[in-house]
Amino acid sequence: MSTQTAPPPAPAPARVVAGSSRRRHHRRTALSAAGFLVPFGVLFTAMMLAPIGYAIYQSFYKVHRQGLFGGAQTTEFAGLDNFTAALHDGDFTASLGRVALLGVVQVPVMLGLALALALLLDARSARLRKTFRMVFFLPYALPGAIAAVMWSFLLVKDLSPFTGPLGAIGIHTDFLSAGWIPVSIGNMITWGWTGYNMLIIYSALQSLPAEVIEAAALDNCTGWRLAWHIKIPMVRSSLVLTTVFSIIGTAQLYTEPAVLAAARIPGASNKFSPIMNTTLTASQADQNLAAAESVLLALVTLVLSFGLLKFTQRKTADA
Amino acid sequence: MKSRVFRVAATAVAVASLASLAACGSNGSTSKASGPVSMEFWGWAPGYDKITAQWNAAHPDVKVTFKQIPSGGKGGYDQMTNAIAAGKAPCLGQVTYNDIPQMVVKNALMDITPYASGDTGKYLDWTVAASSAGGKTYGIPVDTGPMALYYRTDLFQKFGITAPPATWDEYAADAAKVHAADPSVAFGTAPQDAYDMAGLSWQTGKPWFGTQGTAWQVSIDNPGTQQVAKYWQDLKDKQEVMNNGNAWDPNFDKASEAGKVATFVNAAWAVPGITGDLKDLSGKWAVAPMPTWTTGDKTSANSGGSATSVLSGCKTPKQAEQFAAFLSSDPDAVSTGITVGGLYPASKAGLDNPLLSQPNPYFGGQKIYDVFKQSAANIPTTWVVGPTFGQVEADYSDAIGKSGLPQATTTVQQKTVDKIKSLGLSVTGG
Repeated sequence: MSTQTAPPPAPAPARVVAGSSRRRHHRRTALSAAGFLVPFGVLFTAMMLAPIGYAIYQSFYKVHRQGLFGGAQTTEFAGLDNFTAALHDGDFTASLGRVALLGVVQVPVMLGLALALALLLDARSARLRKTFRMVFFLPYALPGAIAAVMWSFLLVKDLSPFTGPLGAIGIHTDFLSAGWIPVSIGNMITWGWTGYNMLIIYSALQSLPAEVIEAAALDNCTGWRLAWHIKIPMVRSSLVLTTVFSIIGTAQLYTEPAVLAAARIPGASNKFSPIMNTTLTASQADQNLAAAESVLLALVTLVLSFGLLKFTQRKTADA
Repeated sequence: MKSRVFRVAATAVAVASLASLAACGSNGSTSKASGPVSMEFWGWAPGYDKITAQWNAAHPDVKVTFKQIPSGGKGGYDQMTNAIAAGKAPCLGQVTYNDIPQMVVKNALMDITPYASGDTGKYLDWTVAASSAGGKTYGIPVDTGPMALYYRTDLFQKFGITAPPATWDEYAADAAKVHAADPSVAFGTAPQDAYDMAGLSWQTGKPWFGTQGTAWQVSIDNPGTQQVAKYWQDLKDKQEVMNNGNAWDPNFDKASEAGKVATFVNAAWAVPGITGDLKDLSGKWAVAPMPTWTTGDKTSANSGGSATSVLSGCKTPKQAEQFAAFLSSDPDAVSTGITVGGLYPASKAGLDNPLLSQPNPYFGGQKIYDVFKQSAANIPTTWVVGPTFGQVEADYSDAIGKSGLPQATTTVQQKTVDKIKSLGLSVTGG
């Protein structure tokens, strides 16, 4: 695979070289390209392609058991049976709907916040730029599971530092009740990932050509208008990128709800997200169904991310 | 010039990554047993590490290494089955009675009937039955979980409760009394998951599963479970019990330290949980028999309890079974289990261990094991565990969060039938 993907020819040398030497040169670049690609190729095949292929393969088979405890087990081709079963599993489809809803609400909030922070940092009048960049990015440096544990302590009714003051002004909420849990999880993700997304947008802002900003400034376009008319359109591609990342991240939601469920908080479902369902299915001796669920989740994520990419590309082409 | 540098670098990177892959592959396959046997034991009960050390001191030819893993339902069983699939499984694993059938369905346990047949008579009959499947032995019983009522003597005194409730009616009356006096104090903790529900339902004598020929009968949604579910839902609705927080949750510990929870119903192995987590409350907790449904009745229940199983792929099952038998029946091992792990022995001889008749200073000098002994003698032996306890557990926790206990019970019944079907086993809806 990797030996055929030679890189584009090197820029034409200034001096015309003889045919054979050029061919040798080609072979040499092809070889060193291969040298670079082989480690990646091996790892990518072993760690990505092979497991994906195995999951797809597994999703088309089913284990047949006999007697009370399974007895001699045989594996047979099952066609699309596992996929039909997954789509008829109310818990699995509900979890897909749940992360979809969470994505629709949380991703715009998070990216809006990230963009706002990035623009503030990028503004000419910004002070303590490095400090603030650090502070905003810091939550991302904390492992997700630890952040989730921390938040579950901050939100659990009898320990939370928020419920007291809120109760004093007449608001009595349990942030970890069944109704509030999706909001609390959205809050945890936003807290953890806003800084990361901000950094991507901020680096895009930093690499905007100075002359464009200066030209805008000369035309008296500054502050809010500069951001809205010049900066945001120019960092559009990184906004698309962060959106795609966030969609994938939301579809693969696991850590935050899993920590809450493991803490046995009533209302924290152990089937909150699709991956939690898949993990449960797999640990209940139903690997084939779990494989089908994973494949379905991957398909949904692929369609959404590529759909968004195509959509924005077409819009750019139209513009 | 430049390209040569690149080429060297590329080759170096390639070689390095291949070398690390190779290192991964060869790791661990060096355990060719010659001379002394060595094997691993995975579990989570407190005290198992010390018992393993006791074994190693007495058996230099069979070295066992204990590895602490998360408890089964929290990922321990997944670690075992994954290790089996990878061919790197330990020889021994802790498996609770609830989970033996599903581990057998997963082909994770080895049939040790030929090695254990001489040993099984040493243990309580129902624990031997619970460690078997289809007439084959899949584990050596270690401990049982006779249930009891843990209560706060200081709070009982404060609210004028003179004796611990002997029946569930009295329990509800006391709960109402405490709630009327101080609504911020919960009388107990409501069942939150399948472990809690199974323990409380066990007492009604109506098992969740049965078998008929080669078909499973699921009867989780039976009158006994519904009686339990309605009883506790009523207490939950009146806010007389904590509906979040179970013993050892931070919530429970905090409420306990603040004197906001007066009782909880749980097994003997709960002892190290309170004595360890709530050191400051020494002298304030006591143990009484589990309340019963009818006056004068002594029927109790079991919650949890584990066996030691030999995992599939073990090359030295004979020595593994010997270790399991030592863990369960050696007098010193049983003593360690009682003092460190609060493990109430499943071995008949272990029940006469002198430690079980000693007063416990934490409980104000009460001989708590007298209570557990009476409880253990009154556990109905009709309980049958089904082949999908992991699913029952997951669905119960989930359903209790979404609806009341009676409705959750009905939901879990249906989901369990569906899951057993989906595994390709035969099942009737009971």
